[in-house]
Amino acid sequence: MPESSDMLIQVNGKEQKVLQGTTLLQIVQAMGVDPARVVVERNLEIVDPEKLSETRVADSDRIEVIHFVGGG
Amino acid sequence: MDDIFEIGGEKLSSRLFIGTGKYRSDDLIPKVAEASGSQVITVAMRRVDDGGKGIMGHIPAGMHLLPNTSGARTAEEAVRLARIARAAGCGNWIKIEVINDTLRLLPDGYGTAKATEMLVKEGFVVFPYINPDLYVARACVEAGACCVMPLASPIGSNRGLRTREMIAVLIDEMKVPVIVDAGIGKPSEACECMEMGASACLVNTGIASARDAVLMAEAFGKAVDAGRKAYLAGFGTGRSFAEGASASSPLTGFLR
Amino acid sequence: METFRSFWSSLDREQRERDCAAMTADDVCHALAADELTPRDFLALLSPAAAPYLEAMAQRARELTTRYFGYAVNVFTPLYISDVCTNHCRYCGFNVNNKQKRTHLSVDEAVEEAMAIARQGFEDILLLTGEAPKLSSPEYIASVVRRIKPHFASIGIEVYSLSEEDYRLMVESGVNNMTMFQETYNPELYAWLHPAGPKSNYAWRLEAPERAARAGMRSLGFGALLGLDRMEHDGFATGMHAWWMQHNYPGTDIGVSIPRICNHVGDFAIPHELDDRRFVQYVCALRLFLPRATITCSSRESADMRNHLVSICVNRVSAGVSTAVGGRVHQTETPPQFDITDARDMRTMARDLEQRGFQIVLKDWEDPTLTNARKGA
Repeated sequence: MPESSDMLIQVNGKEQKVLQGTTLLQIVQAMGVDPARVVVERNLEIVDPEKLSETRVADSDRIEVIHFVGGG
Repeated sequence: MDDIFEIGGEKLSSRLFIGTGKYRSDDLIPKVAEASGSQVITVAMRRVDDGGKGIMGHIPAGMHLLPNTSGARTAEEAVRLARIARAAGCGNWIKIEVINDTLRLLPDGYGTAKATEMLVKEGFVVFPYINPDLYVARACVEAGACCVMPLASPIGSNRGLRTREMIAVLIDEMKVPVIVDAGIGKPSEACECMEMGASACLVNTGIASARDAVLMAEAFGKAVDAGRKAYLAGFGTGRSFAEGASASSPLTGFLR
Repeated sequence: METFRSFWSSLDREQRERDCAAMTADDVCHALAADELTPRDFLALLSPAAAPYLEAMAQRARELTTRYFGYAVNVFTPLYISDVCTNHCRYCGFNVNNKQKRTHLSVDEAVEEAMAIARQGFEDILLLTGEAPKLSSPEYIASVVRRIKPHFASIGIEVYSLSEEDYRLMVESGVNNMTMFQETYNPELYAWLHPAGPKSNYAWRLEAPERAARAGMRSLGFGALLGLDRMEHDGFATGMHAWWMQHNYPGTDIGVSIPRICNHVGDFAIPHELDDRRFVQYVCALRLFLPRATITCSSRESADMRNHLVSICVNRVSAGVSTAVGGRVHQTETPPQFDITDARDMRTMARDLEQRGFQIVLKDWEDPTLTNARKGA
């Protein structure tokens, strides 16, 4: 696997190396959460939940995966 | 008696809003929701942590979700969180919290009013959490808020209705519902809010921190209902009096 | 034990006049804002300084009245059973010197009158006589009361001053309310107004409510005849008398009446005539000082005044009134004690008050120990 195929992105503030062609759905699934219960932001743009499987990350992307937690 | 609370395009029969934070176990939440009779439940938003399950699995179907913007320190951050909440597909209600004093956790009225204005323009139904300040409340209402949510005492304090007089002013002055939020620790305090004419109460810590949260939820549900009924029944007399106040219908006008 | 007479005589009349004249708007506002009024607060509300605050007083009076009595107004009717009187009260139509025909109903006649009243639906009756203790003796009154007791929830008497023993006879025969107007709390004026006859004994009359309370009378009514002396004296004294009784006989229900002197047979120049504004000020002050006391307004006042007073703080009124003896069955030729200015019957009163948002209550209370003695409704 050539070194150039790796990309450096940020997911929820942490740097992460991913392969070229990785989708947002794969990233979410790797976190162990139900994709139906999260909202994904890519570079501060909310990603349509329908398009998680077809959206591939690019180098230096900043991804936020957000869900609802307890609160008042 | 039909006493329907219309808010944000919904018709509610319960005037107790409950939260989802600080429970011993999130498994309690469905039981709490059922015992309280509440139809509106608040949630917060956070980044997904490894292994974090989120709260949605514990929210009973059919409850209206009221996401808040806790964590937002500015109006812009609140707007961003609101958009994320809406993208989750749970409606367009948003409770705005803008807090940038992490020691006192008191809401920033300016930021809240500003966020209200921005979000109303984007089609949100905005529930602003505020200090019971007449001017902030007016600014939010002028910006299109569907209600105002004044705090009864500092958030999470369980100290009860410490801002009574100011909330009474809002109840008198606001043409939108006043939903008392934050600080209510006991059912009697929620009841008092409702007796005063508040439209609803939001209780989180008061229920979640009880030894028996489910039983306390039921108690709050009944207290809110009792206070509301008392308000509707109309008290025998008011207790406020101001010297020289001119009445709308003078009792002594018949005297020459 | 201190009596009201000793308490009242310990208060200096001239000092009170000076205090009253020196009252300020601050004193009035303090009284208006107080949760519980002191006698000084009460005096402030009676003072000229309170006159500009009349509307505020009325609003506060309404608030307190609603708190303690809601929108219910008790209705009673008086029955004069004898106008034979040995007294010389200068202001009264029954004055012995008024050489009019007198009527004394027999017990049977009095019962017939009362039955006619009961048939009208009244449950609260007030029996009145002049002071002729041989003719209208305690036993005569008791005989009437025993006969009519099964037909009324409440029987009151407004008769001459009795001994404690005679009050006990009244209570045992079924009387639960005793009204005693002191007329004036000014001993010198009292002596002048009542120059002869048994009523000339100021102290005996002043202490009658205490004797009645000790005899077990359930409720007592007080009142000065308004217009005889200045407001800071007789008005103040009436409130103080009721207040003192509340504190010293807490088991006895205390009420006040607000009789303004009015025209009658004979001539009498009213020394301190009270205009409507001052009258309403007095009534409001009473309510603020005595929030829980029943305030009764008789048909001496006009329908218009009574309607308005009910809206402010009066919670008991008369209806279907005759101030001549009998009047329901036996039409007598004797003139009335005074001219009533509100002739409404019960039905009219009920309708008028209902239009103003009030409900009349005919039966406010009934002695539970005598309930079984009542005949079927």
